[in-house]
Amino acid sequence: MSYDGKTPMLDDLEKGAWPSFVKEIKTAAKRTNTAKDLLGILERSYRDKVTHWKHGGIVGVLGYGGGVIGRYCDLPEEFPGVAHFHTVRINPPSAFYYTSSALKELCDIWDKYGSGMTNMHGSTGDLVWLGTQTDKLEPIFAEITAKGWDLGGSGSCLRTPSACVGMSRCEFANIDTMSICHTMTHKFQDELHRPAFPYKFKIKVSGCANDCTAAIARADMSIIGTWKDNIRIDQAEVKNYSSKMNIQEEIVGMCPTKCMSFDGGSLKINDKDCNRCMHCINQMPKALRPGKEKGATIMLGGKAPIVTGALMSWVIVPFMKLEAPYDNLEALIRKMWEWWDDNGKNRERIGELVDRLGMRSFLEATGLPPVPQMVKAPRTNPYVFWAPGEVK
Amino acid sequence: MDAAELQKKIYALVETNMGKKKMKAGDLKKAMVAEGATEEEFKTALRELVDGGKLVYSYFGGSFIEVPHKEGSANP
Repeated sequence: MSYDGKTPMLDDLEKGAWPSFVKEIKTAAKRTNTAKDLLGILERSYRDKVTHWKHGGIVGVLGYGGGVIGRYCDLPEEFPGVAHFHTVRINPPSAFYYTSSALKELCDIWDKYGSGMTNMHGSTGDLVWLGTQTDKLEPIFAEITAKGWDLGGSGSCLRTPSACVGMSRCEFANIDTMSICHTMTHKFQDELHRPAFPYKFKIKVSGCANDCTAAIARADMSIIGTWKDNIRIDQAEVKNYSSKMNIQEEIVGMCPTKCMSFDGGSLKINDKDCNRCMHCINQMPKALRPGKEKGATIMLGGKAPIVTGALMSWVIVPFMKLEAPYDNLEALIRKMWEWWDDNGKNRERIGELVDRLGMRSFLEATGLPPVPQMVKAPRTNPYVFWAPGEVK
Repeated sequence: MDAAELQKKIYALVETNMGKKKMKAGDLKKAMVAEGATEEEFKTALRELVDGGKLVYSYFGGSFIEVPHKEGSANP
């Protein structure tokens, strides 16, 4: 059966107030056969209740092991425009800052070689180009690299690091997230483009515990800005807030560690008990500010449920001073990778390896000291033991 | 280890395992280090093989090193 251009099931998804992906693909279909056949094969998939995509594992550009995700359809005669429908991942600038001319430059390349459809941004953080053919990959690569862009990561490699806007426009940033992301991307070019790990590894950098990159749930290594000293309090501003909000109920009562008290006039914080969650600072930004001794909490092991179940990140360094060129961070990451490389099974994320071999093995390999912040849940301490040689 | 000899060994290991076991870069590294190469020598040798098009990366539930071939799922 040949495709007649009609898409009754997709048309239903144009209704309603929200922007519709169907409307966008239809707009693109006026210009390219790729988009036209994408509509057709999607309508067909809805009707057949089965995907018509096949994974292509070997397509890419010469020398790189990542950045292109191969896709073919299983109905190429019926939908020739999507016989090849490869995805290209473009490594974005830190925190997704583009000038309008940079976006135009990228879109011009994509209109020339691909479907014109994009996904900004994919969950890894790359600018994603949807739909091109195998013979267009090298020309795309040549054009983007000539203009200073590069492919992002895919496969068993370091995925494109990502960061929140940090100090560029956020008053809560405790670390220079964009600089860290940019520097790590440059330091780890080999690991990004030439997959040599047991599986993927994601680094995400958030400037504070609000964690705008959702690193804690999504990154194998979360770098979360924090502070070591005391929260700075402006009691006059606290008084102003007290006329507009119920500080006892909304701030003190919701503090997760119950480290605050308010007597109606001034706010007191027992900083030793504070876990730097940012709730009070978010609610009263004029009255409360992070301390002056800033750095990051380094966490390990967050991941979505792909091979095994989802994991949340786990503290491995409660406080690390982070200043350019971040050699201390690089050294830690390389030690972690070495241990993972030596012990990880195929498709085993680093957090899963910690679960399998134990935190003790990880700590011995990296030289990190066991600290109370590593305890994942109350009354659990499964990894700190005396080794036989340490007992006198 | 001599660079040309190392490249030959890497290629041979990938080729002999084709159809039996997909080799990861880590598997190859461990094998070559056991034969006396350093990790840096291995990385350089593999990079030259891939840059020269003699070996390619593939991705299917993890990344592997393979001899270039037309994959089954590819449309004409």
